[in-house]
Amino acid sequence: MSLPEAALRVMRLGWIVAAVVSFLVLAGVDIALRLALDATPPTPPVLVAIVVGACIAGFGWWWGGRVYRAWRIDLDTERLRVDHGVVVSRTAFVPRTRIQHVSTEQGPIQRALGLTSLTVHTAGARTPNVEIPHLEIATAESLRQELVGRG
Amino acid sequence: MAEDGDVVWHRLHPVTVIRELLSLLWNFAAALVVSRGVGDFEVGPEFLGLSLGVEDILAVVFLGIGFIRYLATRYAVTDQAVMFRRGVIFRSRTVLPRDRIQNVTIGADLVARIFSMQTLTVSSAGSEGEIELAVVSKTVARQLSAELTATSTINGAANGDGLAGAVIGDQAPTSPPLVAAPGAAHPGGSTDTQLATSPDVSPGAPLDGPMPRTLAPWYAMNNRDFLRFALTSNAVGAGVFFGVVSIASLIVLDQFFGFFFVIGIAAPIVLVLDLFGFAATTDGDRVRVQHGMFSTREKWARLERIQLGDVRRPWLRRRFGFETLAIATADVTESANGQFDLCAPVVPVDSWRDRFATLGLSTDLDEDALVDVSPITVRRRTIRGASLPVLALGVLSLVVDSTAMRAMIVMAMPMVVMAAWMLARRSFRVDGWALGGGHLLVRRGLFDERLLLVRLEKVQSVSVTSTFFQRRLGLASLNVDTANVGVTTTIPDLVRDEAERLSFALMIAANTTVLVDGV
Repeated sequence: MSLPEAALRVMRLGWIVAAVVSFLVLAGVDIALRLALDATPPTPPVLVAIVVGACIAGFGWWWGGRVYRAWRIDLDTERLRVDHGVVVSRTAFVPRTRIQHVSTEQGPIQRALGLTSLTVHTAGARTPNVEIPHLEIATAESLRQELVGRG
Repeated sequence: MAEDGDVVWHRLHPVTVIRELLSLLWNFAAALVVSRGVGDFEVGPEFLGLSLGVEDILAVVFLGIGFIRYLATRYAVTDQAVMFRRGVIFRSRTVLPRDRIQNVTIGADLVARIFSMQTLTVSSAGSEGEIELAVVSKTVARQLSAELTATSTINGAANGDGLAGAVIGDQAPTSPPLVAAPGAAHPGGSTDTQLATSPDVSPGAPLDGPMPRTLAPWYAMNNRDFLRFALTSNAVGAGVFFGVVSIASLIVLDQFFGFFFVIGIAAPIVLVLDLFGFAATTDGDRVRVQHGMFSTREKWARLERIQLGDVRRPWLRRRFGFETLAIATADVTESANGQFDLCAPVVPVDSWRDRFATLGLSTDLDEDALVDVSPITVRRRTIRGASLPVLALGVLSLVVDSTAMRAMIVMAMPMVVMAAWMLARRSFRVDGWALGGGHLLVRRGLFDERLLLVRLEKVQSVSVTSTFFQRRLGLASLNVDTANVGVTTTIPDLVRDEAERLSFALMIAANTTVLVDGV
């Protein structure tokens, strides 16, 4: 099972926001320096900010897609398997008998898109949590009931 | 309370609003400070004749936040689980199955005591595994604690998968279950009473109830063993180094570095004080370790809670034919203290199997059965070990002016690569793993060796990780997670398929064992 398509939007949205913030900061610095120094640099105003912002947005668009495609979730009678990661790929196996409890968390953007994050908790010390981000609410609820029974 | 199959959500007591406001106090104070920087001004609808200052507006805002938080916080108790939800902007919901409940603690912080209320905390062995109901009335706290700590809850008969029922039935308590007792006052002003959901839930203290069996000596460190340990320990080695440096600087430079001299003296003294009189005893169910000179420390652990055995061989100690044994336990009541640490500081090399067998860690595996990791790891480790020094030397060769110096630097590069290769080969020969008879044996190291004997029944989760370079070489590392803190079990650089097969085998072994309380 992969993450829903809405998850891809959330992952890319973070990078878009970073691009916009970078643009605003750099543009502000550019304009402030021009005014303060009363100088005329060779580049047109805010061009550098536009280029940097576009690069971040472009990279984030591509990278968000790579991260999204790396996520896979598989549940059978024995264990939960979660694959994720691009630079360092990780596959976590959690025996169903070792699951202590399950929690969900939902931010405002996730709520707007009908998504939620699900975290499976074990008693393990090194990697006690296995977090699955941006699942559809119905899928998360179904998974939660499978893992810890009907609540 | 909820009926079977229904989920009825309850709010906490309205006094909770006051608690929320207190938790927002710092935020309110910070906002006040910031508002002072903005400047004093007054706003308000003139037609009402109101004139509100900044403080008034902030107070209203924070009151509103506290009240909204209270409204958004609810709990539910069903025949299957305890559920808790919280938050408005970021909403969280926790579902804690009743057969995973470790402790139910009734407490009363300052706010609760003022209003004659209580706080109820339900804990599991999982990370962030606490649900705190603060505050509730005493009646609700009493009802909930009775219901959640009932035997039928522990047996988990309602969850239908037969998990804890068989286990608890097989492990009939040898002592009466702990009952609620008046809690001692804590410095923070709260009073806690802890109700165990199963007997002997705390491995950190002697059992109550019937007299414990006689403790038989398991290990006692004599003066000679202590000297061996001290002379081969890193703490003393560092201390001696600093002491020698300070004395040498006095002789050569006529400069005395008192700080280094103090460390040279302090390190051995700390070691003496901490390990003086080290002794371990066992009765077949528990192990007790005592040590310390002026302040004697005594630690207990239940043998069934042992997650893994740890054999440490610092290179100097190994050269003299000794090794150090330690065990790691899962202390779910004090998660910060889950590492049990030393149980035998100095024993002859290769005596770990016999020693661990007497603590319930009996295995047929030995180091002859160890399987090598992938030989491709030599290449990877050589590149990893040599790349940074070679890069640094390359940069240095560009910076130096002298041709002779530059030539020497360039000649040093292949020597660095050769050294990295030799170290990589050495660590490849040391690393290995073996699986069988309910245990996983892993050896790691370069000059200092470490052997970990993991009980498969204690495996909590397994993960396979693969970095960018490992993926290019078809390799992956396997990480085995148990409930102890401080020691991690990793098998590096396995062939990817082998890592996956091993992880499946560990899953099957873990699933065939049902653990009491999950640890």
